[in-house]
Amino acid sequence: MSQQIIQPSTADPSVRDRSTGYEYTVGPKPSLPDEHMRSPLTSRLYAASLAAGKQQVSLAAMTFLFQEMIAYLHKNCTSVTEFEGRLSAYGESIGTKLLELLNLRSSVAPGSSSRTSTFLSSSSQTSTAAGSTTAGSATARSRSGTVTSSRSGVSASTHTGTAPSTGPASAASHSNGSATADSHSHHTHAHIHQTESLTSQITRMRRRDLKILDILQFVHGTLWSYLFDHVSDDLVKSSERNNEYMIIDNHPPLTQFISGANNRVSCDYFVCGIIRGFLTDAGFRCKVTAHTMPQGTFDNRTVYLIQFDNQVLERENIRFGQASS
Amino acid sequence: MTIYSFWIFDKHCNCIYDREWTLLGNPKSGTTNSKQNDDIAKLLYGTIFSLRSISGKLTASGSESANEIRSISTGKFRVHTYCTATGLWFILLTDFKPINYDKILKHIYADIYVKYISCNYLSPYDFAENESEMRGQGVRKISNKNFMGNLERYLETWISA
Amino acid sequence: MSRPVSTISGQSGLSSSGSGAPLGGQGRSLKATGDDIWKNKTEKINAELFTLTYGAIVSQLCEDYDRDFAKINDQLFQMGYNIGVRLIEDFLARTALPRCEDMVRTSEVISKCAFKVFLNISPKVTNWSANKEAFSLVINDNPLSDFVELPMDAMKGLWYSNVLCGVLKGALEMVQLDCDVAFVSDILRGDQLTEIKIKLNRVLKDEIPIGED
Repeated sequence: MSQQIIQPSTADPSVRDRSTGYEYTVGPKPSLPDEHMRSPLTSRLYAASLAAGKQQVSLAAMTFLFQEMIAYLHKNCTSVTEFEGRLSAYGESIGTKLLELLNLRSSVAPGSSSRTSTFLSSSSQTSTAAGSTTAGSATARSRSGTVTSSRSGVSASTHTGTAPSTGPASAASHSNGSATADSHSHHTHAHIHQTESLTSQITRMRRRDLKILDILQFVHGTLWSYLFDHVSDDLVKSSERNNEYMIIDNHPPLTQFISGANNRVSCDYFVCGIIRGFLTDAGFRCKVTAHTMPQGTFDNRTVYLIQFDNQVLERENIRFGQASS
Repeated sequence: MTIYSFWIFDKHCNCIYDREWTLLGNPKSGTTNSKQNDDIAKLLYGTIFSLRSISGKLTASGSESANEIRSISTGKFRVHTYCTATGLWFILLTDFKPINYDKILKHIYADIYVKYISCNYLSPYDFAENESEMRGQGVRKISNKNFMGNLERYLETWISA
Repeated sequence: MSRPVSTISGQSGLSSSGSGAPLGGQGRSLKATGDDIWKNKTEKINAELFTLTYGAIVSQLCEDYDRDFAKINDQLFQMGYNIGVRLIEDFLARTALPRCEDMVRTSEVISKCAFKVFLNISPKVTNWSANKEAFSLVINDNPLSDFVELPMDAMKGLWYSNVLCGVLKGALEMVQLDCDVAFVSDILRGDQLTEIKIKLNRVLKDEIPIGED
């Protein structure tokens, strides 16, 4: 246990081993024989700003897609446990990406100290920084750890370095203590070539959360506002067990149309996965499960139970004394 | 107002739901998806089908909007219809009170049928499973409890009104 | 599981044919219809969550099908089809639109209403065939493919947003339009445009009861 107390954020084997196609001792492997002959595609991706535009789609479109995802899993899974595990894995891949993205966006002044979703309103510049500035794209390509590239849905070949590289990146900004300009560029290197970069708006990088309560606040506030446009309805610490916390949503938007409490709760594992991916990548290994607990008029009220690994508690005790327990 | 019965037909000319109230003013009375209504359903469908084709033929070609049947009156009751672009028919048999039945039927479609049948992955979106169940020979009915419950609750307010 | 949007009871405004032209063939009113529904009668959610979820689905398919992109395209199409046959009812319930008299009208409804209401975009309708039965949709700001870069091996085979074709195919079929729907090009593959081609094969006949013919 003790040797795990200070762990790199990628210590979770399930996250680490998921990368396919990239062998770090060899470097990126060409997946087509003539790949080196081709000129790299100048993707607009790297020219787009990471600043949050307030883009929306209809909840209907999202729900139809979600349904289809569930139907696909439903066909391919033999047990409820397997179903929940695989649905959770979908969520985790999203959660790990959101950790970096939301940290970055929360650093945008003003009020970056505020935990609430200032980034949602700071849409002064949207992603219309279209393809004119592609000078930096070649550089960007080599930096697989930046948030943009890692968000590519099928970037299985060269860009799945996300998990390994986000760890050091956020660790760096932490150990430097004062968030210097240097440590910003570690995150946002790909964007310094363009004028509309988000970096220019960041005067002080948001610090990595070290305490359980801090990171949970971030999930409860920022992550929830980002996903569902409102903070979660409650954040509770278990009175019985030290390592258990609960995030409560009275009316989970994604699963609200699913009938039958048991079915619904299984589908909530998508959000469990997002939370777990988010927390695990931030260095808080945990298990997240969903439970339905109707209360009053909220028939769909769902409790996301987060059980941290003991090592997380141990680490917190060592570092912050009794303050946390 | 009084509602005598309610029917849904799908694009295969099949009656996929029928509900008949037998005691006036008693929303709990009557039958649902009753076998005895099979012949009536066929006749009802045929009547509206014929009227639709006639009205289509009598409408000057090239006019912008279709000439849809909205209601048919007899000496004792009135038939209200609402047809969707996907070929579903929603039909109410009522008395003569001047009420906007179009709105009621639209509500049943948009807020009850679409919600509990169309968007419900556990319910079929097409009630004919093969060729031999098409063209008015289908046997399958809507049996979804949420659909039925919500429909009853909604129509109840109109029946007892 | 059921319908993604809470009750929209008052759609009567759209079909009140008494007030002026009954949603005539003019693009203006369709655009107004789409905009109005999007603005006032649609529950919305963060587009990035939508994008990321779709990304998770596609990348999982790549794994499940061992990067056999032809199969993945088919699977995405099938998923889209399953969505389309149900989504059409949701769409009709919201818009109360009648059947379209021709493909020109259909194209307008798809671009100005359907894409607007569900994805808040309006693809450009272009490349009409001489007989006015085939056209292209050019999508500029495809929310599905935001943040996406295809790996080299996927660029040749994968139609990343193929789910859209399936949705269109399924939805059109439900209103008796038998169409071929397929991607022609995609900026993710290095093309200049993202273009979907829709070609009408035939208008399906409404069924009539046995004995009536």
